[in-house]
Amino acid sequence: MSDTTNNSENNINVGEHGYWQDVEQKKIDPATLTNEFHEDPFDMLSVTKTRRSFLKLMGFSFTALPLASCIRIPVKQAIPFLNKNDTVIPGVANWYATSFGGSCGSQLLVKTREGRPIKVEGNTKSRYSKGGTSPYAQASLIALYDSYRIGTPKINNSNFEWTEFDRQLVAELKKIKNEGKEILLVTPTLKNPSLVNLINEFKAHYGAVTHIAYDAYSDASLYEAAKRTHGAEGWTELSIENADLIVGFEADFLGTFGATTVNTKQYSSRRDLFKSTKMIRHIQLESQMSLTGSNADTRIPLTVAKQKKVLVGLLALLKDSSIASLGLSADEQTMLKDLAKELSRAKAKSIVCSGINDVNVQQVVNEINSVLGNFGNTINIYTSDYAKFASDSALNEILKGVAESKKQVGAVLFAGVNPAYDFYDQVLLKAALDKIAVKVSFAGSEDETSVLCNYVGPDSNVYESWRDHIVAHDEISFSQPLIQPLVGSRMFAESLIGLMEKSGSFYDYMKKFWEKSIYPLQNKYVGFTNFWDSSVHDGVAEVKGLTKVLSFVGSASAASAELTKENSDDVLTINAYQKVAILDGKSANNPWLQELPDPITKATWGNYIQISPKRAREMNVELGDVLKVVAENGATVELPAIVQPGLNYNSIGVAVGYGRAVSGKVGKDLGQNAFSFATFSNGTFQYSGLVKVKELTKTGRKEAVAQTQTHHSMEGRDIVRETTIDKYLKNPKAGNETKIELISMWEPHDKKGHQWGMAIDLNKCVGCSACVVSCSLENNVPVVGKQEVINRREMHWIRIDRYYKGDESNPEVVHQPLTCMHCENAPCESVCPVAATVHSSDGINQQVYNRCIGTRYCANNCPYKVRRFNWFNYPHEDINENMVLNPDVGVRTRGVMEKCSFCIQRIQEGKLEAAKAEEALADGAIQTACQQSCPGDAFVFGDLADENSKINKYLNHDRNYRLLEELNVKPRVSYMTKVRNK
Amino acid sequence: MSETTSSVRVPLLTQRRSYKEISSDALDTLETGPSKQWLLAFLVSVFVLMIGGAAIGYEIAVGIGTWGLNKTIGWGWDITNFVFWVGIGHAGTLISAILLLFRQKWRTSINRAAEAMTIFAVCCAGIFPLIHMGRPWFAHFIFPYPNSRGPLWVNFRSPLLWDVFAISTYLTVSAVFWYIGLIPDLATIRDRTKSPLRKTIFGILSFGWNGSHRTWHRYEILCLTLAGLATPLVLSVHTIVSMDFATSVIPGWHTTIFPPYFVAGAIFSGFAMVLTLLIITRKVMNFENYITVSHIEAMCKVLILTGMMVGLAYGTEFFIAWYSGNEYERFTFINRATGPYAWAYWTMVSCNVLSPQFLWFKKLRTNMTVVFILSIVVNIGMWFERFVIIVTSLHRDYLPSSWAMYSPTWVEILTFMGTFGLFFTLFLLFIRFLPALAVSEIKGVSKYAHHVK
Repeated sequence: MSDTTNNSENNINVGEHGYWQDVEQKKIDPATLTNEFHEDPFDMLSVTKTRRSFLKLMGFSFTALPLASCIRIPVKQAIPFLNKNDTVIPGVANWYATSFGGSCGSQLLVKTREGRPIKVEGNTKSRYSKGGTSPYAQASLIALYDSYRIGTPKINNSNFEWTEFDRQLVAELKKIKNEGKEILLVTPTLKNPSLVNLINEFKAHYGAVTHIAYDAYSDASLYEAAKRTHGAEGWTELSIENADLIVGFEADFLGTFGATTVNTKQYSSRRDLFKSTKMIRHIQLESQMSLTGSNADTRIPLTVAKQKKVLVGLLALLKDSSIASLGLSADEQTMLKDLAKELSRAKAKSIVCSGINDVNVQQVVNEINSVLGNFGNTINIYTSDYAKFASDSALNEILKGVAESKKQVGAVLFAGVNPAYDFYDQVLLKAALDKIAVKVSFAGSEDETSVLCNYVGPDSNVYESWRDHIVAHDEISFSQPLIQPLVGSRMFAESLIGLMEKSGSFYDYMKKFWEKSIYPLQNKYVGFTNFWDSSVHDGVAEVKGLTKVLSFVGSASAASAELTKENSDDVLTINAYQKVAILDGKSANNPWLQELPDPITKATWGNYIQISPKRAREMNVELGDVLKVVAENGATVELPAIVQPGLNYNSIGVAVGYGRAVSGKVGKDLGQNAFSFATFSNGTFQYSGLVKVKELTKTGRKEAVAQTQTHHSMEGRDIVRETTIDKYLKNPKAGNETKIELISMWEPHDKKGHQWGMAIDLNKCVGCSACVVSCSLENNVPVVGKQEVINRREMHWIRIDRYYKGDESNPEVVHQPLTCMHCENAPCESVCPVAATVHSSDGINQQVYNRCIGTRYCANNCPYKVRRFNWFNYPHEDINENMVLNPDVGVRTRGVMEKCSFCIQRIQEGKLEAAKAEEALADGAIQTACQQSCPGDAFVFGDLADENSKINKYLNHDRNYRLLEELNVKPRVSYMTKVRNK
Repeated sequence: MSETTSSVRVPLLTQRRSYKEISSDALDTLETGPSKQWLLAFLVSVFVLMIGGAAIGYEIAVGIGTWGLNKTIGWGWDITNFVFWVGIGHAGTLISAILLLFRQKWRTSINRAAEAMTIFAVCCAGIFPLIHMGRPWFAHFIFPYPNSRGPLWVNFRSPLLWDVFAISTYLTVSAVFWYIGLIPDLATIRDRTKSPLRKTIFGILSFGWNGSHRTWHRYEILCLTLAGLATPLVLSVHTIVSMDFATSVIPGWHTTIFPPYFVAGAIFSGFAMVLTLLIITRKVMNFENYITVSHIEAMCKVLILTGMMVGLAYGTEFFIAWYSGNEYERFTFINRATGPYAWAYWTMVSCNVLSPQFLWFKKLRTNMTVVFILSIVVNIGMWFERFVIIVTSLHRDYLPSSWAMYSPTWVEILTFMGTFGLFFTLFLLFIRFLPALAVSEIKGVSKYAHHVK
C-alpha cells in the first residue's frame, strides 16, 4: 500500500469510544483492524496467526499467484509452433536484407535463427559495398540485445504508456505553438528520404519547428564548402576505383572518414594484382598515423597547419601561381612541387580529399579537384531534397541565442544525438538547455542527454525498425525490422507520427511515400507492389533522380587567401581524432567494439595520449606514463601515453568517444572525454591541429594501456614479405625469392575429399578489422574486458598483426591477419596428451572441446600463437545478450582451448546444401566469416583438391608464401606478398 | 680379531658403537613423544601446507586465470615447480640404486632419508601437472583406460603422456624400493617396542620378518633387483621430462642436449636438497656420528661435478644456438642473457655454476654452515634454471606480435609455498614415525668399520 496515511485516518479506534459491538471486536487488537485492507503482501506475513489471517493469506496466495503470472503478457502475438509459420524452420537460418544505416555504407544481410538476428553479412546486391562490411556494421547487432536499453517511455523519470506519453507531450507542444515559441528538433545528418519527408510534415504541423542536423564528429565543412563552390549543400562521393592517384590530407577514408566500406572495397580492388598490375598510388599527408596513412605508398607526416599551406600551395602550383608567400621550407616546397607534378600527370584520374573540418580547406580541395578535372570522373558532389545536412554554425548560433534569451525555444527534441556528451562547449549547452522547458530525448538507451530530458521516448533499434537510406547517388537501401521490439520502444519516426496525432505505422507511411516519390524514379519494375517487394527483398534499389549532381561553380580564392594568413608556426597542438571501432562514442556500450584493437595502436578499452617518439624521449615518457594535457581553451585530460611512431612531433592525439559518464556497464567511465578539445572556428567544429597545448606534463602515475600487441618490430624476420611494383613487374617473385624444400618425418595425412585452404592477400588487407568482429560474432568468441586484455588474454580467433619498419618518425606499416594456420604437420596436434586437437581428412586442424583438459601445451607449441585458452568461465547468464549467440557453435566452458575452426559450421552447411541440390560443391560457395565480411576481399578460401579453384590460382602464384615455412609445419593458410606502389 | 687400519679409507662412522647402541641411537626417538622442535616445525609445515591447499582450491574453483599466464606464456610457475620437484626427487634413487650397485658403502647413512625425500618430492611434483590443467576434474582422460566413447584413446605421440608413465613408474618403483629397504628396520622397531599396539602395527608392516638367513638372502636379492630396475629410471624420468620441451618447435626448447642436461641438473638439485635436509637432520636428531662430515664432503663433490656439467650445458646451448645459424634460436639465447628476464638468467648462472666452485676448498666443504647455505643457493639456482627455460623461451618466440611478459600472481606463489609445506610435513612425519637411518645397513658398515680399524 503506497498510501498508509489514508488508512490511519479511517481508524476504528475501539478504545476511544469505549463501545464494542461484539466479543469478537473487543478481542481484536486495534492495530490489526487498521491494517485490515492490506495491500502489501509482505506486511501481511507479520499479522498475528489467526484463522482469519490464515484465510487471508491463503486467499491472497490463491488469487495473487495466478494474477502475478498474468502480468505483462509478452506472448500476446506469439504463434505456437503447432501452427508453424512456413518461413521459419527450426535449425535453418533465414536471411533478410537490411541496413544498419551507418555512414560507412555497409549494406547487410542478416542471418536470423528462430526469429533472432544472430549475424550480419555484407549484401552483395549493393553496387557500392558489394558484400563488404565494416567493424561497425558487424558489431551493431549486439546493440539490439543490449540489456541497458530503455524499456518504456518516461516522463520525469516515471514510466508511462506510449499513449499517455504522446498525450502529455502533444499538449506541451501545442502550448508552445500557441505561445509562439520555437520547437527545436536536433538529429544527425539525415539521408533518409522517408524520415526527412516525415520531419517536413512534422514541421508543417507545428509551424515554428527548427530542424538542425548535428553530428558529434562533424563533416559539416564539406557540406558548407559544397554550398560555396558547388552552389548547394551536398555530400562527396569518391570513385576510388576510377582513380590512379589518391592524395589524402588528414583523411582517414579507409577507417573513420566517409563511406569507409565503399572506399575500402574500391581501394583494395585497385590493389588487386590479379585484376590489373596498374595499381592505384596513394599519398597521405597527415599529422598522426591513421589506418589510411598506414596503407599509403608514400606517407608525409605534417602538422595540420602545414597541410593547409600545402593545399593552398598545391592549388597555386596547379594554377601556375607562386607559392613563395606560404612560408614553407625548402624541403616542403620540393615535396609540394613533386606532389603537384604527380597530380597533374593524373588529371581526371586522381582524387584529393581532406578530413579537416574547415570550410576553407574543403573549398580549396574542391577547387583542386576541379582544376584537375576530377569532378565527374573520380569524385562527385551530390545533393538531394531528401537529405538534411549538419550545420555546426546553425546549432551553435541557436544555442547562443537561447542561452542569451534572444531566442524563445519552448521545446527541444533530440533524436539520435547526444550533445550533452559530445558538444564542444558544455557550458553553453547547459545554459541553453536550462532555458528550455520541454526537453525530449528519443535515445534508445540512457545517455548524457536523455538524463537531462524530462521526456524520454526510447527509439527502437535499427534492426527493429523500418528506414530507408541514400547509400549513394543512385542507390537507396532499406532497414527492415527483423524482430519485434525487445523492449517497449518505438521507432523515432512513429513517435513523430504519434506527436502529429495521426494514426498508422511508419511502414504504411514509408510505403505510401515510396509509391508517390520513389517508384517513379526507376524503370526496372512495373507496378509498385512489384518494385516495393523486390526492393525490400534485395535491401537496395537503384533509383535515378533522387539526387542531383552538382558542378563546380565557385572559387576558392578567398578561402586560399584566408588560409595563407593562418599561422603555421611549429607549436604543439591537439588532435581530437576518431578511433576505429569507437568513433564518436555512440557505440561505447558495445563490448565487441571496445575490445576491438585499434588497427594502429592495438589498444582496446579506453583512450590515451598519442605522443611522438622524439617528444617522448625529450620528456622521458614511456608507454603507460600518465600525462596531463591542458589545452589553451582550458580543457584538461589525464591519460596514459602511447609513444606513436609516425606521429608528428608537434601533434598529440587523443581519441574522442571515451569518458562516457552515462552509459551501460561496458562503456561507462572508460577513458576521458576529448570532445572538449574541439573548438568552434570558421563556422565549424574543428578537431585537429587547431587547439594549442598549454601544458603537457608527466603526472608521475602509471596506468596500463590494454594493448593486444606490445612489440612492434619484425626484428628483421621474414614475416611479412613485400616488394615494390617496379620490382614486381620485372620479377613477380620479387620479395618472395626464398623457397624452402623440406622433408618430413611424418606420414602425410589422408587427403580424402575436399582440402580446405586459405590465402590472404596482404596487398588488399588494409587492416580495417571487420573480420575480427565478424569472427567473434560467428563463433561466439567471448569478450574478456580491459583487465584481461592487459593480462594478454584476449580471445579473438583472428588477429591483425601490425608491424612498423624503418624510421620511427615515419615508419612503413604492414597489417597481417592471422588465423589458425591449420598446419598439415600441426605442432599442436602431436603434443596434446588426450588427442583433443586432431586433423580432419579435409585438412582442418580441429579442436575437440569436450575432450580438452587444458594443458595448454598446444598453445605453447603453436609457432603462430593463435590458440586461445578459456582462463575463466566466460559464458554468463544474460537472457538478452545470449540471444546473439550462434546456435551452430558451442559456447566453451572454462579450462578448454579454442581457436579458428575455418568456420567449420559454414563448411558443413555448404556441403549439405550442395548435397541437397545434388550438385558438386561450387568454388566459392563456402565463405568463412572473416572472408565474407572483408571489404577488401583479402581472403580467399577454397578447396585445394579442386584444380580450378581460385585458391589454387593464388597458391600457384609467384607472390604466394607461407609464414614460418622453414618450420615445416605446412600451414594451410598462406599469404600473398605486399606490393607498394612507390 | 685383529684390527687393521687402512691408510686410504677413513672410517664411515666416527665412533665405534655396538649394534645395540646403533639401534637405540636411531630408534629411541621413535619411542618417545615428539620434541618441541619437531612439534614447532610440524605445525609450521602444516600451516604452510594448508595455505597452499587454499590457493589450489581457489584456483580450481575460479580458473587458471587466477594465475599470471597468458596467450603467449601457457606455462609459468606451474611447470617450473613441477620440473623443480621432479629434479629434487632424483638424488634418492641415485643414492639408493646406483650407489648400491657400485657398492658405495658410504651411502648407507643417507640413503633412507634421501629415498624418502625422493618420494615426497615426486608427490609435490605430481600436484602440478594435475592442477595446471584447465579442467583437472577430467584428469583421468590422460590414462589409456577402456571407455565407452568409441575409439577414443590417448595420444602416444605426446610427451605429456610419456610424463604420466615416467613419473608414475618412478614413484611406484621408488616407493617399493624404499619400503623393501625399511622392512628389516620395521622388524627391529617391532622387536624393541613395549607397546602392544606398536608391536601389532609394525608386525604387520614388517611382513613377518624373522631375521633368518633365508629372509636376509631374499631381501638382498630383491634389493639388487630393484636397484637394477630403478637405475634406468634415474636417467629416464628426467630425460622424459626434458622431452616435454625438447620435442616442441619452440626455440630454446627444441634442443637435443636436453636429456643429459636435465639429468645432470636433476642430480645436482637432488643432491643439494639432500644436503639441506641431512645437515638439519644430523643436527636435530643427533646423527652426527652416522651422517659424518665425510658424507657431506662426498656429496659436495657430486655437486661440483654436476654443477660443472650443468655449466657446460649452458655454454653448449649458446654455442649451438650460434653455430646452428638459426635466427630464432640465436635470438632466444641472446634474449635470455640480455632481455627482460636477464636477471633470472644471471641468477641461475651464479647459483648453479659459480657457487659450487667454492666447494673445491676442503675448508669450505667441511664447514656445515657454508655447505648448508650453498645447498640452498643451488636449489634456488636450479629453480631459476627451469623458470628460465620455460618462460624466456615462450615469452619471445617466432612472431614478435605475440611477445609478452609473465609474472606470477599470489595464487601461484602460495601454491608453490604450499608444496614446501607438504614436503616438510611428510618429511617430519617420516623422521617421527619411521627410522630415518637405515639401521640394518649401518650395522653392516659398522662391522666393516670395526674390522678395518
